[in-house]
Amino acid sequence: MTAPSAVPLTGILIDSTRSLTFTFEDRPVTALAGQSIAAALYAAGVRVFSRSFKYHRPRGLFCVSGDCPSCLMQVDGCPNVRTCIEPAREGQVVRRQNAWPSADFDVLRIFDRFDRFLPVGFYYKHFHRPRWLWPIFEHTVRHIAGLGRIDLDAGPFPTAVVEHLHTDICVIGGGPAGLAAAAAALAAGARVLLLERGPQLGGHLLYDGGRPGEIEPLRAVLESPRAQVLCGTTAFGLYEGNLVGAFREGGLLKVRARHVIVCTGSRQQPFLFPRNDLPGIMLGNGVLRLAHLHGVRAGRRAVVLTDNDGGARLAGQLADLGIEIAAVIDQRVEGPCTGDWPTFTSSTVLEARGNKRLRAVRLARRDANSQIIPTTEQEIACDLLCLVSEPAPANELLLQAGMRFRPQGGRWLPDGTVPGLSAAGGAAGTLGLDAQVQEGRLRGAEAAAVLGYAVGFDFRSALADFQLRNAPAPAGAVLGNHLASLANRKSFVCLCEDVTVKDLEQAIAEGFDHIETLKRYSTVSMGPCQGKMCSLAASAVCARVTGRDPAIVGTTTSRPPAVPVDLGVLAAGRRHHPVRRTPLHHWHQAAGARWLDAGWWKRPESYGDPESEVRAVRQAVGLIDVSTLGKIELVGPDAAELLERVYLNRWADLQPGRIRYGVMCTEEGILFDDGVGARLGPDRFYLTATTGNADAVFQWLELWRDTWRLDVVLLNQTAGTAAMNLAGPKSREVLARLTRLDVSAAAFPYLALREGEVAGVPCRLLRLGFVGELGYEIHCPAAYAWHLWEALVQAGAAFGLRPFGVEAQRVLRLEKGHLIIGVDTDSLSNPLDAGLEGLVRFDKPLFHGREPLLRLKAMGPRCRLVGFRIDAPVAIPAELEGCQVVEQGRPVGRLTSVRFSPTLGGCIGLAWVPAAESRPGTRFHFHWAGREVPARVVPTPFYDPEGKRLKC
Amino acid sequence: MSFLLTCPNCGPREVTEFRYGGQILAASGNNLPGPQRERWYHRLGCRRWLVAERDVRTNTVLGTRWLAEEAP
Amino acid sequence: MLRALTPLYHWHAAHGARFIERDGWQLPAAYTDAESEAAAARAGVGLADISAFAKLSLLGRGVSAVVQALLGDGPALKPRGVAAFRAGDPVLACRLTEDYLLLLAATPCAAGLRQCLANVPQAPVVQHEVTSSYAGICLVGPHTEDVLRQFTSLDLTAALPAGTCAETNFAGVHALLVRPPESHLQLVRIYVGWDLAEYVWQRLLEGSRKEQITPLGFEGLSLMGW
Repeated sequence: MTAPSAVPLTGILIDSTRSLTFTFEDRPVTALAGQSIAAALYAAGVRVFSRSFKYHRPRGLFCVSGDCPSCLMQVDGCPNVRTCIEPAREGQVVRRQNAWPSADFDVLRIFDRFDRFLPVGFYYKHFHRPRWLWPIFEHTVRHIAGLGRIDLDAGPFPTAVVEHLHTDICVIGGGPAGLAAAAAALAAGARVLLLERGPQLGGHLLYDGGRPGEIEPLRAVLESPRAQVLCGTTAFGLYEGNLVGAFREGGLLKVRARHVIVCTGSRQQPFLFPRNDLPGIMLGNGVLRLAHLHGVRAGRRAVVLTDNDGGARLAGQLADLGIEIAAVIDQRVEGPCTGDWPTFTSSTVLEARGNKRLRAVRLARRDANSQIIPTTEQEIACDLLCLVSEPAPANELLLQAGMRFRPQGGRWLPDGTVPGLSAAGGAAGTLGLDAQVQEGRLRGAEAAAVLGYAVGFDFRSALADFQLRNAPAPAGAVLGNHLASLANRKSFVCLCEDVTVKDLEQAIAEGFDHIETLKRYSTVSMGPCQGKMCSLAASAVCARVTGRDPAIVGTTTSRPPAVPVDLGVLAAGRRHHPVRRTPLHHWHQAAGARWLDAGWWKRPESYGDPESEVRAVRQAVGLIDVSTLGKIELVGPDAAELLERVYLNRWADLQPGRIRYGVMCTEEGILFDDGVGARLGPDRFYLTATTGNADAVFQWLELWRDTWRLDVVLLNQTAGTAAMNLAGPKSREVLARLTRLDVSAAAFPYLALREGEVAGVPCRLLRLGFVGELGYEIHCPAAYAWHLWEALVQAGAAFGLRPFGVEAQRVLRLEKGHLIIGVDTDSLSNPLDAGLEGLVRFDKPLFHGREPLLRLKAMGPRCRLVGFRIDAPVAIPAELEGCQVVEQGRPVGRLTSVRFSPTLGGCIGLAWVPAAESRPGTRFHFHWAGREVPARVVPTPFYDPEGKRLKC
Repeated sequence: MSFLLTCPNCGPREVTEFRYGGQILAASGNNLPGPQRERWYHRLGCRRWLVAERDVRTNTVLGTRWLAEEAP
Repeated sequence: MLRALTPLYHWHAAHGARFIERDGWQLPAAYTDAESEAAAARAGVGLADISAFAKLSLLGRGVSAVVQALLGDGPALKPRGVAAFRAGDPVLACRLTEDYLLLLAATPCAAGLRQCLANVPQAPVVQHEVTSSYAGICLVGPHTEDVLRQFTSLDLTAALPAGTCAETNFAGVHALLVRPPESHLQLVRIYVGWDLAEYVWQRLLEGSRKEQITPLGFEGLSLMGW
């Protein structure tokens, strides 16, 4: 039955009763609902869909499956949209890309004529000399090459979300094999998730004239409550642990499956002949998809080029669609001759002819030695050339997950097994509908059985039987289809990157004869299709030129993503990083705090004027939120022993109610953290750790508690406990107004801990002097922090209390010469060099860092952390942090903390200098803004060296 | 890295819930291809240290147990 | 008068909440009106701040003995089990690990909890009041699981059936998910660090795509059968 070509086709994805309009390069185009953008454009007469990457050659619709790069366009500002599978929507704005001034007339096509200046690897060979020209080269190359333009004004795009799904068996691909696999696994009782990238289930049955009715019973099985079917869902990666990455509706899907069955089908491959990229040349299945899915005829008069029986079958199908068949060209010596059209066996296409679209093909017969017989050359007029190759497995996901494929009998078939993974249908190299369905059913049953479900039939012997019967039959003899490269007539292996057969031959001649180096040098398979259309051809060219076995040559490594993924999808769920807020966050906000990010924490850097905050603490009283400090309670008979072993200093002799400064090192003797510890009772300690290390210190204590099996319970109170430091000469008077505790110097001395109520809130008070003044660190449950803070601010108002931020605290502690681990030290700093040797109790038998520190002590110090002053005026002292200390032009140390001290009226800091230069009074130089600036070592603390103010 | 680690308390979990705590020194040598004993901390779970035996060639986890129950 | 604030107090205030006072805590009664908040939660998901409810932790080798004495051979006898009992008010006992039991009261009053533990036999456990260590967020409504799936890779069906709890990665931070036994509604409690409450609350409100998610005051929550 031959349908007249005027009769409209009914594509199964389209609703011919509803039409819509979108804008294509400033003109309106009408599409039917459900039709892809490319199909609507094709129906509207567009034939040039894009310009190629390097030579700006016109490219037409080719695969109609979203695999090749030929239909990439800019849609609503989004570059590289695969328009052959992207449904058209009302009001869309569609443009072709990578062309100037237009894809129909692209002046950059000139590169195609100058290809001898653009040989393979040209960017490795040129452009790097002279170096000063590179920015100009770069600008030009960027303008000419590349795919699409990012439209900075487009958007905002909807935020992608991530969804986590779990299942027993994940079946990827809803064609006949996938449906059969899902049905069999469901029948055995497993939970099944089926992912189908198209809008409908059915796979190739939807377009290639199979028997769609046969899958209806399978579809019915999917109604089970244990089944979840997601159409319009594209799997792009199969990662270890059977994690399937997929996207749908702009969201990211992460599927954890106990078993994955890949049923992604197969795809036809292009043939290599001169000008094989001309618009009008299409994959045979592409023509069928365009007709049966989208209702558009690809041409009026077609030639079919094939190397298998599929060619004759396609010719019949096209004739039924009302497309005139001009000829079937079969590259095999023998092939079926069906229909009322000429079939040319032992023949090949010599060249496709036409300018921007196909007008004719030139063909010829070969003799038994594969040589062209010139007398048989002829030209056949046509507007469509259909390529019908033996289908190759769409196996990217399988390769990613570690399954190997080998060529057997001309087909690539799985070689070996991978636990938790199987393949069925075209993806496993299985041809023919019945075999695909059967294999799907057996793999589904097998997977369910592996997971412990009872399978009602002997699938093992059925599977063995199946494999025996479906071993590849020897393919029909194909005459070597290589054509000597014709001058200026390119045969493209890689449509994405414009890599020709000649390019590959030249690259191999230059020594890049391994498939992986060949890929990197020639860029074959590195474009948007990631080798789907060129990997096997490149492997074949490499095998032919090098004379190696195709199985040895193999293919390049397949990595995720298997299909292009929007970056926004990958970023789903990662748009935010966690923010930790103290219970006083909104107080600071209302008080005009400038924020400082400290890891995930937000801390007030200052409330506007850090210098006056410093003065308030020195002269009256200040209040700072230190809730970010790590707070750890240790309870148990071995609490003291654990601390003795991880800290440098002693803890066992600390009296209850007393506080001590503690420092810990790694096992290598590197400074790790410092803080204070208080003894609450014989078996109970309370520690603080620095903000950045709070979690690490807690985990460190747990690690060694478990390793040494010590009997102590660790409580992490960091989040649940707020802390604020009330400091300054007036702090005692402020505190006295809010508590019944005796806060006199005699009753509550320096380095003592008291528990009691302040403003009615149950608190722990630690008398400390980090900022160098009389001060109390008050800890309370987070829920009461606001109440306590406001009470302190209110009580302090009469004494000139000011809240102060991290910046003022940094200045205050620097005036006291206190180091901050991680700021003044790095991953090579040890306590001896840092001036903390007084804390290291070598008389303890065991503690972290003891042995390396003993060795370092014997060697003597190489460098020292010292205090220094800069007498020259410095505009922004903090900018000097990190500057190198230099000696005769060579770096010998660095500045770690530098600030202007309002108290001392000068610029002070801490620096690492050579041990020999570390005595107070020594002068050194540091490098700043291209000059050497003098500084001198001074003793620390800079301020109140006797510590009278903090102990008063 | 997307393999699963089975926490003795919480069951199989994404490896990203854990913090790596280094290889436990082995008499036969360190940093060799094949299975090795490692410390892991279930940072986003029960917050306990465990020992995992992992084949570093394949990321196959052969077994996990509590660090506190590990033979010293 | 001592005033206790949950870490979401300022969020509630900024979103028009009317507050009530319970045991010194300022709790959001409703943002709009309880009826419409509960109706929205029944159609989608409701989100309630339950941080103020008293919490007590027991840590140590003696946890098994305490659980046995308190609850007998209930589900909480096994790690990750959750059991309900009464100590004045209803209490959930969550056995996080072999040696960690977390008791969650249903009101801000901790007196009942303390009293029932006073009667427990001596065992090597460390008791600690952790009310302001964990912020609590209650998700309730038919689409609770759909929302959770966007924030955690936990297999909710396998790892979080009714009467269990699980500590896991939630929106990138540590969280304890609790599904009470015999909950007649789709209800999951999420406990995160006090300092992370606002971050997680905002992620829940902004992140979910299709599911209508509504903040629920205490009046709405009691209409939902709390």
